[in-house]
Amino acid sequence: MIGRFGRGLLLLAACSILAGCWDYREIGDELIVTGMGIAPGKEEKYTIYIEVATTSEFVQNKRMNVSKSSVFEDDVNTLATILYKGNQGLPRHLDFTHLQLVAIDEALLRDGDLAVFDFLERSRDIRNILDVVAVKSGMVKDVLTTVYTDLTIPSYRIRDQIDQFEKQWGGDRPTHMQEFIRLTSEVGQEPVLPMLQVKNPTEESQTADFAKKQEPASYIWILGSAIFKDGKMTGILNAAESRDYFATQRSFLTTSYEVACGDDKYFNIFLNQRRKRIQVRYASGRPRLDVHLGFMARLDGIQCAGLTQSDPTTLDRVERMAEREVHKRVLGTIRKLQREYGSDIYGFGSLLRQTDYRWFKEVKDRWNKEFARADVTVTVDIGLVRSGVRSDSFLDAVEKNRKDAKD
Amino acid sequence: MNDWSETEASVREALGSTDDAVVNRIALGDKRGLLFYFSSLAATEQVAAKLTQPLNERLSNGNAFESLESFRSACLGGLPHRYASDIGQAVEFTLQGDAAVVAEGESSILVVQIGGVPTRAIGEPKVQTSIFGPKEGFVESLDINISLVRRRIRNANLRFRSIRLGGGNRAKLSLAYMEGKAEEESLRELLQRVERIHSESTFDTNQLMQQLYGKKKSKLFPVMLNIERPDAAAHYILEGKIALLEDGSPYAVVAPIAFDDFFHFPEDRYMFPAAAKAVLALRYIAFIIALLLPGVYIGLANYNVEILPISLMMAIAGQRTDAPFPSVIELLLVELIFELIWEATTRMPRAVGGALTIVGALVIGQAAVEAGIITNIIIIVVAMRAVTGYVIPYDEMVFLARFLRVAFVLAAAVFGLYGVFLGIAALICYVTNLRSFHDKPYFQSGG
Repeated sequence: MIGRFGRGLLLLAACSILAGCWDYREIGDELIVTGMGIAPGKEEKYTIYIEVATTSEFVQNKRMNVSKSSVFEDDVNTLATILYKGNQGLPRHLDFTHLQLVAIDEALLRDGDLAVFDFLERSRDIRNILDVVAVKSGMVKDVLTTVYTDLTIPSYRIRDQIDQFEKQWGGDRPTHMQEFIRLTSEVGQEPVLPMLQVKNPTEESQTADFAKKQEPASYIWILGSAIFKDGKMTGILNAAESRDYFATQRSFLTTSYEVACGDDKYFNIFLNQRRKRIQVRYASGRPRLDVHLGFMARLDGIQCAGLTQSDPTTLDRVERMAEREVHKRVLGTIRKLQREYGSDIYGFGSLLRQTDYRWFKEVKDRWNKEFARADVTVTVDIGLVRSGVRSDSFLDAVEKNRKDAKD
Repeated sequence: MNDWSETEASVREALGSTDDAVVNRIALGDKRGLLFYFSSLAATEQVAAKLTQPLNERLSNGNAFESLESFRSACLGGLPHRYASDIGQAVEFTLQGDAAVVAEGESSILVVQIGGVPTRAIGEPKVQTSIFGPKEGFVESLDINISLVRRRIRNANLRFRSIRLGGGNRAKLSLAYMEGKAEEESLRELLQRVERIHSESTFDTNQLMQQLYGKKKSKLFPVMLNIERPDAAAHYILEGKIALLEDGSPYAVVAPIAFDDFFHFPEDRYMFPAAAKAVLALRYIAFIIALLLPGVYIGLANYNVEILPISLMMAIAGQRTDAPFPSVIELLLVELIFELIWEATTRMPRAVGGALTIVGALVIGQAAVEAGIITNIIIIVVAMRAVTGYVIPYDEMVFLARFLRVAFVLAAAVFGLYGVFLGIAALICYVTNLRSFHDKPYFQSGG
C-alpha cells in the first residue's frame, strides 16, 4: 500500500512526465537581453537594437576575453515583433526579464512617438523600473556599443554612470520607465530623461581591443536632461542646468558650485542640501512660486587670497558669495524653463494640486502657460561648516610676500 | 520436590545442553543443593566471591544450614536477589546474568544478581558530540546506562521499570521517567506500543523506534528521538518525557517529541543564552535550506528567472551554457552521486576511507565539472544543502529532509517556484494537523 504522501509523489512524477511545462526554460539556453535601443527606422518604422549579454564571459573558467555583450539590429514596425522575430538573427530564445536600459533616439522623442512605451509597460516580462535614457540623434547604436576599458556591458555602465553622476554632483538622475509614464500622463509636472551622447564615436571603440588602449578616444557622455512638454521632447538642459534643476527636486542632494571671487579666480564649494521648501500660491490672479533651499557647505578649494582668514567675517563673505551664485543659477534655470520651453518640469502644478485642488482644477488645462507667467522667488541659505584641514590658505602668505617684495 | 535427582534432571533440561550453562552440585550442610548460572552472563569469579565463598565460610564456622532465606539474610545481606517459584522462572532470571541456588526440600529458588561480564568502557558520544557539557555517552550495558541517568537525577521520583520484549532475543528494556511529571497518557500509550511489538528480534533502539511506530510508520515526521547523551536523556526525563533504554544499545529513545525539540538541544543550556538563541536560528535556517534549496534552485533556473538579480542570473546562465543535461536531471544526478558517496563512506572499512574521499572529490568536484558534464552551480547547491543537512545531528530529521527535498524538486520541475510554495503550504497543513503521542499537537512549541 502506498500512503497518501506516496500517492502525492506519484502524482507529481506523473505531472512531470505528462504535463507540457509550458513555462519551462533552461537558463543556459537563454539570450539575456540587457539593453534595448530604439531609433527611427530606415526601411520600417523603427530600428531596434538588442544588446545581448555574452554570459560565458561572466564565468571564470569559460571566459574567452571577448566583449561581454553584442548588439543585434533589426527593422520593425512594432516593438513586440522583436520578441518573436528576434531569432531570425539570433540563435537562442530572447529573455527580456533582465532588461536594464532602454535608449531612445532624440528624433523619436521630439516627434512625440511614445507608442514604444505601451509595449514596454504592457509586457509581463519587462520590469517597469527599467531605466530610460534619451540619446542624441543617430547615436543609439554607438551608445549601446561603445565599451569602457573594463569591457562592462554598456547598459550596466550607463546605469552606473548616471547613478554616480547623481550621487556625486546631482547632475542627472536615472529615470524609471514607470515614473516617466506617470509624469507624461499626469498634469502638473512634465518629465525629464537623462540625455546621452557618445563623444567621438569610432568603429574601434566597439571592439574588445579598445580596452588595450591607454587613451580611449570615445566616451559615453552625459549631456544633461531632455525636457518634455505635452509628451514631446522640447529641449535639452546641459549638465549644470540639470544640476540646478535637481537642487529643487532632490532632498539631501550633494553637489558643488564654482563661484567667481575675482578676476578669473574661483572657489569651489561643496553643498549638501539640508532644507527644501517649495510653495505655490496665487496672488492677485498670478501664480507665485517660492523656492527656499538650505545647504550645509564645505569650502574645497580657493584661488583668491584673503578669503580664508580665520576672521569669521571673511567666511561670512564666502557664504554670501556662494548664496548669490546658487540663487542666480537656480533662478536662471527656472526662468529659462519659463521663457524658452514653458514646461513645468519642477512639479509646481502637482504641488498646487496637493495644496489647493479647487484652484488647480481651474488652471489645470493651461498649467504650463500659468507656470510660464509665474513670479518666482528663490532664497538660498548656505552655512559653511568646514573649510578643509587648513584654516588660512598658503596663497595668503604668497600674496603678502609678493607685496612685501614690491615695497 | 520429592525426588532430588528429578529436580536436577529438570534443571539440566531447562538450561539445555549449551557449553556456557554451569550446573554445580553443592553441599548445603547436610542438605544437597544445586547452583546454576550462565558463565557467559555471570562471571565465574563473581559467583565465587558473592555466593560460594560466603556459603563456605558460614558452613565452616560451624553454622548449620537451615534454609535459603536464613543463609541469604545472614551472608548475602546487601546483594539484590529474588525468589523464583519454579525452575522455568529461575532459568529466565539466569538468562539476565543471575545465579540460582536450589536447595533440597525447598520449593522456591534463590536467585542472586551477579553480572560482572565485561562491557565497553564509558566513552565520549560518537555521533551527538558537543563542545560543552559532560563527555559521557551511553554504552551497550543497560545497568551502566541506568546508572548514568540516575547519577544525573538523584531524585527518589525517578523510576526505572524493566520490560522484556517477546521474540527470539528477548530484549531487555528499561523505561525511565519521573513519577508525577511524566504524563500518564504518554506512558500508557508508549507501553501499549511496546506491547504491540511482535518482532523476532530487537537489537538496537533505532530498530526499537521503528517497531514502536508500528503501523504509524507512514507518519512522515519523527515523534521520537534517539539520544546518545545521558545528560540530554536526563534533561528530557526531568522535562516529563519518557526514555526507553535497551540492553545492548548505546542510545535511549525519548518520547513524545515535538517538532521544535529537533532544534532545541539540551546542550544549548551550557551555552551563553544569546549565543544559544543565535545557534537556534541558524539551525532553523539550515533546515529550511536543506529542505528547499534544490527545489528553489530549479524553480529559479527553469521558471522564475526574473526574480534573480542580474549578476546572479549572468553567473548561473554563464555556467549553464552548453550544459548537456537539463538542470532537473543534472540536480538529481548529482544528488544521487552524493547519496551514493555518503552511503559508501558510512559502510566502508576505515582503511579505504581516504581513497573513497579522493575519488568522490576528484571525480565529482573536478573531473565532471571540467569535462562539462555537470556545472559548478549544481555542485554548490548540493554541497550547500548537504552541509546544512548535518547542522541538525538527529538522523530522523535529516532523513526526512532528504526525502521531502526530492518532492520539492519534482514540484519545482513541474510548476516552478509556485510548486515550491504549494509544497510548503501542503507541508504546513500536514504538520499542523499532525499529533504526536495521545493527540498532542506536533507543531506546538515546547511540546
